[in-house]
Amino acid sequence: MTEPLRHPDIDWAALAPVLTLLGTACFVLLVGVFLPRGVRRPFAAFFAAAGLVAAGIVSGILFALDDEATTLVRDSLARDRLAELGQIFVAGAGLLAVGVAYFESRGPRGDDPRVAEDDWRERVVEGYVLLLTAVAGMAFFVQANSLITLFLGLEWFSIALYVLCAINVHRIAALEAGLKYLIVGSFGSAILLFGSAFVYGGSGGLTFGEIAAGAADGERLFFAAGLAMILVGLAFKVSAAPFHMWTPDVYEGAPTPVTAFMSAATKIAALVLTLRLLLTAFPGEEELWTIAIAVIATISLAWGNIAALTQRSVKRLLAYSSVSHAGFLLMPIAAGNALGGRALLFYLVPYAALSIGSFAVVAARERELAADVTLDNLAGFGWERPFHAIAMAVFMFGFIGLPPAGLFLGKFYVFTAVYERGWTWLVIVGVVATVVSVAYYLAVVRAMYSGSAELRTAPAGGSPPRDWPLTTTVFGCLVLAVATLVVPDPLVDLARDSLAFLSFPF
Amino acid sequence: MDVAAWIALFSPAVGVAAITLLGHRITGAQAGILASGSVLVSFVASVVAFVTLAGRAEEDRSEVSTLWTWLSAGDLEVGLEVLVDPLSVFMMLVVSGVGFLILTYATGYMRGDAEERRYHAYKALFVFSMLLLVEGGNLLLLLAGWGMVGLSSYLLINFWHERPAAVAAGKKAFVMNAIGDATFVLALFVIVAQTGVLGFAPVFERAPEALGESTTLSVLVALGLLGGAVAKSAQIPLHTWLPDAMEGPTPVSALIHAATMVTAGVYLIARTAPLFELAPAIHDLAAILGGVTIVFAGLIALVQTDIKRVIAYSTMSQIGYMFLAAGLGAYGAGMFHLMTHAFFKALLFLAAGVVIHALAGEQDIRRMGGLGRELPWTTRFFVIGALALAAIPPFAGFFSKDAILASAANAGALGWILWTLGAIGAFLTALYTFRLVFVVFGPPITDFARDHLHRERFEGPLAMIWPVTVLALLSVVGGFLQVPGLWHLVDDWLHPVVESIEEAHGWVAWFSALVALGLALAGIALAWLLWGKRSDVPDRVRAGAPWLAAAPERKFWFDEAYDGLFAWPVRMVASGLGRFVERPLFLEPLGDLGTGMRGLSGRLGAVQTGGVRTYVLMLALGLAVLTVVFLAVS
Repeated sequence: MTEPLRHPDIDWAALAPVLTLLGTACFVLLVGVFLPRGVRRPFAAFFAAAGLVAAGIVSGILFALDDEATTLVRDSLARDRLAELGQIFVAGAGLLAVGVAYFESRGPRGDDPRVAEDDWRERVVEGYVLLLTAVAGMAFFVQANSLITLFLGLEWFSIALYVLCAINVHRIAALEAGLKYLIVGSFGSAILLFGSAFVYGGSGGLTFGEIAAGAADGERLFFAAGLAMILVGLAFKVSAAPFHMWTPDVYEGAPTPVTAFMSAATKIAALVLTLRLLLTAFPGEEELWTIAIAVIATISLAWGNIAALTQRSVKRLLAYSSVSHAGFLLMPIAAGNALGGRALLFYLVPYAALSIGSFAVVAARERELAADVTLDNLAGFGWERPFHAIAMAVFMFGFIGLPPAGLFLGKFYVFTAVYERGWTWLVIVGVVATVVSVAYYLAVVRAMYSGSAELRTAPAGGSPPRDWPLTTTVFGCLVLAVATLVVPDPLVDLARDSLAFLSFPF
Repeated sequence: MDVAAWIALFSPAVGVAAITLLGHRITGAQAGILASGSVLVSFVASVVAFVTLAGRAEEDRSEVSTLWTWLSAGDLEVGLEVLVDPLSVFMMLVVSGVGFLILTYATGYMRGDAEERRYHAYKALFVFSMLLLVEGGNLLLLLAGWGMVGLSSYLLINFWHERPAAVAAGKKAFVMNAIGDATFVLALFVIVAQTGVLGFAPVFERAPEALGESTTLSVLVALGLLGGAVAKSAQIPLHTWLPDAMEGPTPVSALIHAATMVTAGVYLIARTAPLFELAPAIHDLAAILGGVTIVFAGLIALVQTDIKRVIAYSTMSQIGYMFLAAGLGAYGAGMFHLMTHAFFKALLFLAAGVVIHALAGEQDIRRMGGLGRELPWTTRFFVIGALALAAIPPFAGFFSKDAILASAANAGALGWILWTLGAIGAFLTALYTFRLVFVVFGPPITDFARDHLHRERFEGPLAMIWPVTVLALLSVVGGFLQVPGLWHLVDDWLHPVVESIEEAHGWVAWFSALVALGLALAGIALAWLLWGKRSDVPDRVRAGAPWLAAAPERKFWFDEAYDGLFAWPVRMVASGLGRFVERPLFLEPLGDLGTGMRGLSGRLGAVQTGGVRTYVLMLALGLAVLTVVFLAVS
């Protein structure tokens, strides 16, 4: 007698956010094809935004309902507040990216970016669908509770991003970025997969719980090697040095809205999952991974900040800034304490706002100049676009960790967490890195406000294109960044609630 | 009632925001209307609060209204809260009432200035700050208002920022005030450390226990608060900024540097009276500083030649009276003088403004003369202000100054010493005030005045004339709020907040009043003899005893002394440190460090070849190192 095929018991509610996003993506793709060109863009943008909001709300409802952590589909996916908070974060990042990607205005005809925009306008439905798909993949990824779902989610959102990077097929730089990201990213994924196999071999488990349980009697060497490889795979996604080499090229080459999205959402997803993975699957190796992550964070801080010093291209500069913030974001994980967990989840929100906001401002300038934005052609920006420039200045000060942005508190929490762990040296590294970062962040502010007289009076790209979705996004990022400083308590409480079910080694 | 207080507080802030955000979409005149309109709303709201408060029983005339709490640590809760009680409502009425009149005047005075909008925005910002100062429900908000009035004063003093003198004056005001702000903040630190609270009522409740009476702590607290008060109110020894502050537009001098901000020190002493009463020595010190300032500033005012500076020194001197009163515990008399002084000093400034306006910006009284025939109404207003300032009955200044002197006469030996200073001050006040009257308005007309005088209808724009008229009326009748022996409306009104000391009665009161009046009349008579008749005595004195005139003319060398004692050594030490410490030890090595970092950055950039090969190699290397280390450790 053959055993009947048993379906795993599926808790559909837990999958609702992912399914909402996927459903919206399908709807937009299918209906969008039949619409006349003129209405495609508002249609796709509206439904992408609606889908993201809906997914965020569903996650929020689940967050309110779930006061304890459960799993589904034979433990391979988690249903808990950490996952739901992560989903809210990535949906929020996606929503902001919708605004940046809308391209309300047409830039002046001429250079590369003209093609870039027209290309995007041609492929706007696909663009938003891919964005939704990427967010869906990330929403799935942060729920992952086994190595299989982890890899599945990772590939899911990565592939969407590879395509997004290269969506402007007429732009050589974009194609190059997409290809590079694909090749290096595949290599990273392969390492992660390889590591997963080792861990399976070393522990006999695939779900995080089984791995933790089986670690004691498995093969130590397999287990350690596997952990190292998984760490590398995730550090790659976070763009932590020395696994960050793709970051500047891809960030620079990809369309700026995509860069904005990637810089925030990928980090959110990868870091939330890293936290979950390390705490639930490798609780016994805490000495090993905390120190390894501390070292990676240190290298990221050093490399990112020093390399940023001589950048002229603002997108590259922000890419290195993103590398250095990968270091700051890994610090609380390295701390391995509950305070660190809270610090990480707090830090992510103002960081995402600053990152998306600053890339949005870059996008605005890019469209206006029809050229890549460098520190040199940022001259006069402060007088031509007072609002964007003030916002950019706030973002730059925010990245340094100065008020009025919430990263001020984020850094404070991060340093406190690391200090509580007893790693004063890492705090010193963080502070020194912050000091170095002042040089290049303020270089952006200086470039905007100290343009020479003739640059000040001659706006480079003619009259400014009005782009209300973009400006709204910048405003939203500004509000979010400042709000996290003014009223940090709600976010801190959310972070505390979502970590309640985890136990921290230190 | 608390709604009215909130409206009064935020209305000018809304005005500032509107003017700032509307930018070039409104004209300067419209900005002026917005500013004065928003302050009018404040005034109406203040009146509503006053009427509501007056309708209540005496013991519940104090209410704290909290919008939200923004700082909460243990016992310490600091919120955005206003305190509505007789003292704050009294100040609200003065600030918004006089403020409204002066802002209206300014719409005429500043008409056509290139940056009129900015001016009106600053002016409304000042009124908001001042209202925050007087309405703030805890010491932290009081400090916030305190700092913000300093800021708006700074912004307005150097409003004409293309004049180096104005910029220097602004800086001086800011620095001198910062000294006071610092001592104020230090006092707050002690208060928080000892009592753990910042709200007025809780602080006063816990202070006797937490600070003790005449202990080092209570003395430090009172001294810190006094430092703030002395700096803001331009009393010796932190007075040097006020005369220079006259570089600002005249309505600024009237509102900020005569009627309201500079009297904030008196308000502070009255508001924190329980803390001063814990340190009687410092309380007395406040009175003594006030008494000395009365005479000191009166002497300097005698020899100044700039019309606004004379009035500025007169302001210092009059605030000296208020300090004297507040320091002796005669809070009612001090606040009463604050109010009447706001009326007649604003009147004097605004009338002087009309003169300056009519003479195309000239402020030197030696070039003025004979304006009485040319500007008859302005002359009348100025004389009313002068009579009120010289404390001639029935003008307002008589009653308030008399109240102060009568209180001093009832305050023991120290009181009598200070009374003497006050009486001398009364003589000096009359003398310098009427010197101004006779020199500026008395005949004969100077050539300069004849050449430069330009008159408009009503001697000035209507917007300038009617506020002056209202102030003149107030200067005439304002004194009847408190008539010795009959009624004491101000004392009674403030009674729930502060308990004033008794005034002298009977023959002492009569003696005090008559002596002061006699001295004032003598001052006017002497002024008539010396300047009214254009006598050559002043010049002969100057020629015969140059030092006699030099001392007040050089303002008793305070500026020079401060420069030598503080500014010069600091500059020397700073330039020495810069040359011998900073450059070799920090600047050069750090410069090298910066260059080194950039070099390193360039080298890191070189790794970034753009080739996928390198990237994958890097990834593989990192992986290899990590794996090997992990394996080795395991």
